[in-house]
Amino acid sequence: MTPLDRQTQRRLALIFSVFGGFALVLALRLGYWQLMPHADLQAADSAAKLQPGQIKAGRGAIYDRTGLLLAGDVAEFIVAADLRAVTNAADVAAKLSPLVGRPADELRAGLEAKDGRTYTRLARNLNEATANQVRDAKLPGILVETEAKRVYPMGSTAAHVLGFVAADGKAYTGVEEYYDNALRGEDGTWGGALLVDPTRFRAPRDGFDLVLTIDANIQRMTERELSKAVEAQDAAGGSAIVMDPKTGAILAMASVPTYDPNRFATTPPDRFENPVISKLYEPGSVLKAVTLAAALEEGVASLNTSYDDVGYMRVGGVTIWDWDRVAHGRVDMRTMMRLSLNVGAVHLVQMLGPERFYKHLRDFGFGAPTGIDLTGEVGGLIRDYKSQGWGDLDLATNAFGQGMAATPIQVITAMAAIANGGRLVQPYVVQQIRQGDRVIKDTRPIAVRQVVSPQNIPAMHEALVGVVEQAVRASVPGYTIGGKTGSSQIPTDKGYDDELTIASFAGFGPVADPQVVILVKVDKPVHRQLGSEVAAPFFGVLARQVFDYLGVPPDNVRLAAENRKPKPGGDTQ
Amino acid sequence: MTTNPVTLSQSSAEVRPIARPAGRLDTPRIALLVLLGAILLGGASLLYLNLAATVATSSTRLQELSKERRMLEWQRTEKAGDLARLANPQRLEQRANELGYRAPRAFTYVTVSPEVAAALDHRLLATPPAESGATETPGGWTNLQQQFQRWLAR
Repeated sequence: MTPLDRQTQRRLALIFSVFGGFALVLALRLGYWQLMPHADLQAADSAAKLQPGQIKAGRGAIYDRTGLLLAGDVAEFIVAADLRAVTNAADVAAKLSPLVGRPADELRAGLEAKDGRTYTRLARNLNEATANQVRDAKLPGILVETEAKRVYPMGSTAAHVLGFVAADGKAYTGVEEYYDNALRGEDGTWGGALLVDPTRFRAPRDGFDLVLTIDANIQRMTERELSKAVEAQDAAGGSAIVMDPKTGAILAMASVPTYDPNRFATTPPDRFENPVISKLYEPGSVLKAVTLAAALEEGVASLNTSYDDVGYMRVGGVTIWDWDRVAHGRVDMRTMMRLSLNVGAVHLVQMLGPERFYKHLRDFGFGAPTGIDLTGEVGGLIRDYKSQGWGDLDLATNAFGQGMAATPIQVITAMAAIANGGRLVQPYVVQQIRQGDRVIKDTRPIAVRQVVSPQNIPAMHEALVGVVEQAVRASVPGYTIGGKTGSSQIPTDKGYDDELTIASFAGFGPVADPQVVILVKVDKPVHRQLGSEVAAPFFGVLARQVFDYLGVPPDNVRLAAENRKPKPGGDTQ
Repeated sequence: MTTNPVTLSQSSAEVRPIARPAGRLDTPRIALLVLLGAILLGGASLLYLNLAATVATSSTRLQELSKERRMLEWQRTEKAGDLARLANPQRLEQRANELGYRAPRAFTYVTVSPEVAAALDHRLLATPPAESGATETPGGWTNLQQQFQRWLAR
């Protein structure tokens, strides 16, 4: 081995000294950062750690059909503390207390938590100005965070349709739960605090917005009038729905008692359920419209078919009475519907037989969910002739809507089918799913099946118009209205309740060109029990307001306008 | 008997390498190569660290911008919420009642022929906005002025 010459040795020594010096400086600097305490860095570190590797996607907003915001995310400012970085809890608490409006003792207790926690939240629901004040105070260990908070600016309006989102981000009931996947979006990823691999970055996709079929104005009218009806009768509650019979779009859906989704935490949980889709009731005489439609469809009766009404009928050893317990003599089916005679409805189902009656009942959508885009819908209960223990009495009581259970949405959907020319349509509450201005999905009406032939529609309309001529308080001056009253008994453990009823009215108008179908249901009214007395007046008031709002012309105006239209192949009059 | 003509010492001398190759690495060259390698490695490391730092900085900036965008979206929602609160039919109804407005008892629909409708449209369009009548009730002073002008014109 040849020894190095002196010059090379010197050069090498110089180079190694330089490198060694660098290494020493680096080592000392590393030691300094590693070993010396740095409160500010600890706070920054903990702040970085609090931010997850995921980027939260924003939740979509919900609008009514006129563009009013019904639900959306706003910023919630939270004051938290990294307990490792808090050196003087008493001092921090004293300075923080006036800013966040919490007693210093409480804050200090939170800052001095002995349970091993390193992080705690001290105040939330702060506004931006307060949050900025806390930031500017630069208190050691105190962090200001922002989180999304779901708000419902119109309070309890359409609460049962909307549902709510809890603090943990989980959606409950209504469209919030049904469309949770669309509203939620997809979270993105940062790939860690020190991102060295750009391929790990994935941008979040914010949730889609929903545009409902609900009209805030019609919703307000419905809620206001329903509340009045329930209060006037000291009733336990009630529900009302306004639907476009041609499409199945729900314009309003209200129930009393309701709740404010902004205050879900202090609301009794039983109020979260949407009674319109989840609460079963015996629809009562409203169902006679379905019974008559089935009889017309099968050709076993017409409006001129008559029978001797003695006020009661014995079926399966039980006496079925007309609601008024009066013998009406010879009556036809118009009168049967107009006076809502149970005996006449029983005659019809006896002519139909169970097989054909239950087929039509199911065709009208009873016994199965309608498929409305809301969480929690139930299908109702029908004990048909195949069920164990079924008897003639079941058939007889089912003819006038007792001994079976349905939801209000099923009843209004059935009435909509009669109104719109015989097509059963699927109800829906979301018209569009949007991303900004881009329409992702536009809901098209779904016609499920034809349940009444077009040739039987005029007879059905005639019968239901006759009902409103009797239940005159459901009428709207200037408009031809069709509908059916219902005063159903409430089943209890010991048979039916002797006094309390569910009063309802389902109707539509104008009959020649139905624009809306409305169902009103008042639960357990105290002062009056009949649907014609409790629900029909409410229907009349609400229908008039809705017609005015939608600009539906009265019959004479509509007819005059139609007469002026040029007829195909004819001269203009 | 045959004898081996090559002696042991001769064969050993042949298998031993006699001379080093011309480009052999001596110690200074090895040191130089190590140094060069270290410099290259250091350069590459610096480049990588620089890139990583740039990506990290961009990432942080992206995160900040994303947060800013989210804040703006939240602010927009807040404004939309304010608008919804102000346009809430319940509030408007209450406010209208406070101002003395009442819901009309009934609407009157008037049927007119297309010719009359066209003529009406024409007149309405031709009327200057000031004369067409504002929807608001005129204030007390305006009302007084109008009454005075009508009195003068009589």
